[in-house]
Amino acid sequence: MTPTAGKIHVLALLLLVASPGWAARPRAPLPELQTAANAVALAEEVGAATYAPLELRYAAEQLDQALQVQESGDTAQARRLLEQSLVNSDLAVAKSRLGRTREAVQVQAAENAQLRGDGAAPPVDTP
Amino acid sequence: MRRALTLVLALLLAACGSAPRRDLDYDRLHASLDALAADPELARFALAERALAEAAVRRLDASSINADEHVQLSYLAERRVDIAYIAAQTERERMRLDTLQREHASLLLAASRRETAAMRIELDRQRQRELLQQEAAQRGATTNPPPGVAAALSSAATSVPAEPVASPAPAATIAPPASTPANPVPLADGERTSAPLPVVAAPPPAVPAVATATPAEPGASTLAQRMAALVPEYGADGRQMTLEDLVFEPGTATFAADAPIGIARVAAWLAAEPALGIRIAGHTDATGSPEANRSLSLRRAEAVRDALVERGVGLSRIAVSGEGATLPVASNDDAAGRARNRRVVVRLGGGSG
Repeated sequence: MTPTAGKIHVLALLLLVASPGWAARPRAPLPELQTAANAVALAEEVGAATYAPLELRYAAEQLDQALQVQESGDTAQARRLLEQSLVNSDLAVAKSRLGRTREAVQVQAAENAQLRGDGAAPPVDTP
Repeated sequence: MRRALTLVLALLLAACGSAPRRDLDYDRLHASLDALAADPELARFALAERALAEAAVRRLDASSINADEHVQLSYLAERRVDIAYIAAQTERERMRLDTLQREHASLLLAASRRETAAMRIELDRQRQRELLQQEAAQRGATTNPPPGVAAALSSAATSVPAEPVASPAPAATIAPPASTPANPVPLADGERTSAPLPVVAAPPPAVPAVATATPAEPGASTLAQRMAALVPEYGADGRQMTLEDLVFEPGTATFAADAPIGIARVAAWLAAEPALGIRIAGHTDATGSPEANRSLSLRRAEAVRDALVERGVGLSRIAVSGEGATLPVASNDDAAGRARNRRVVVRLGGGSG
C-alpha cells in the first residue's frame, strides 16, 4: 500500500474537512474536490506516471492549488483549478490507455511475425 | 456639414461594433474537431469524447464570457479536443490489436496443423523403418538360417537328395519340381542364354496336380531356388503366380538379385496365354500405416509389371493394383504369416485386356 499522490490528496481533503480551523470557518468543501482527487487516483492507476507524467503532474499540482485557494476563500478560482485538474487527469488517462494499447499492438505484431517466420521456414522433409 | 460628418462617423462605429467577433482559439479548436470528424480512419471512433469536446468548444463560443473565463474555457476545450483525438487513436489501435490477435490465432492453428502433419510423417517414417527392419530380419533368417535350422536343413538334404527344398545345387541345375509339366514353355532368348531354367507351362485347369500346386515355401531354400521352382497355382480368381516378399529389397520396390529368375518364369507362363488379360496385385502385411502399405504394394506391383513388359509381355494386357494389407492370406500376428502376406500376385484372366 504505497502512498500515491491521489491517496494523499484524498487524505488531505479529509483533513481539511475535519480540521478545527475549518470548523471555525464552516465552509462546505467543494464537491468537485472529490471528483478531481478520484480522477488523479485513476490516472495513477492506469499508469499515467509512465505514459503521461506531465499531465499527471499538472493534475496533481492543480488539485493541490485548488485546496489551498479554497482554504483562502476564493471558491471560484478553486473551481477553475479543479476543472483544470480534472481535464488533465482525463487527458493523462487517455494517453496512458493509448500507450498501453500501442505496446500491446507492438508485442502482438512481433509474435505474429515470429510465427510467420516459423511458418516460412523450410517444411519437414518428406520421405 | 458637421452633422453629416458626425452621422457618418457614428455609422462607421456602429458598423465596426456589429462586425462578427473573431475568436482564434475557437476557430482553431473548431477546425481541429472538423478535421477529426472528416478523418477517414478516426471519424467513426470515440464519439462520446468528440461530443464532450464539441460541448467544450461551444462554451468557448459564448459571447457573454469575460477574458478570464475565456482563458479557462479555452484551456479546457483544448484538452478535450486532445482527449477526443487520443481516444479515437486508442480505439483504432484496439481494432488493430483485435485483427492481430485473430491473425495470431490462425497462425497458431496453422502451426499446429503443420506440427501434426510433421508428426504423422515422422510416425509413418518410423513405421516404415520398423517394417524395413522386420523384413530385413526375416530375410536374414531366411537366407542365413540359425544354426539349428541350418542343421535340420542339411540333414534333410542328405536324407532326401531329390527334394529341392534342401538341395544345395545352383538354380540352373535344379530338377523341376514334381508339379512341373513335361512340356515347358520356351523362355525368351535372353533368358535362355543367361539363365537356362526349367520353365513351367500354364497348367490346364482340369489337371488336378496343377490346381493343388502351392508356391515354394519361403525359407525352404534360397530365393534363387524358390524362384526357379515357381509354378502357377489356382487362386480364388483363377490361375496365378505368386512372387514372395523376398523378391524385393526390404521396404522398397527394388528387385533382389535373384528376382529376375522368378520374373522370367512368370513372363514365360504369361507368354503361353497371349490372349488373356493380366492383373498384378501387390500386397503387404498389416505393419505400418495403410497409406504406406498401399503405396508400397502398388509400387511393387508396378515394378513387376515393368519387368514383365521388358520381357515382352504386352503392356495393354496388364492392370496393376496395390491392395496394401487388405487381403491377407495368413495371420499378421506372427512373422511367418506376415511374410506370406507380403507378396505380388500375377493373375491370368484379369487385367485391362
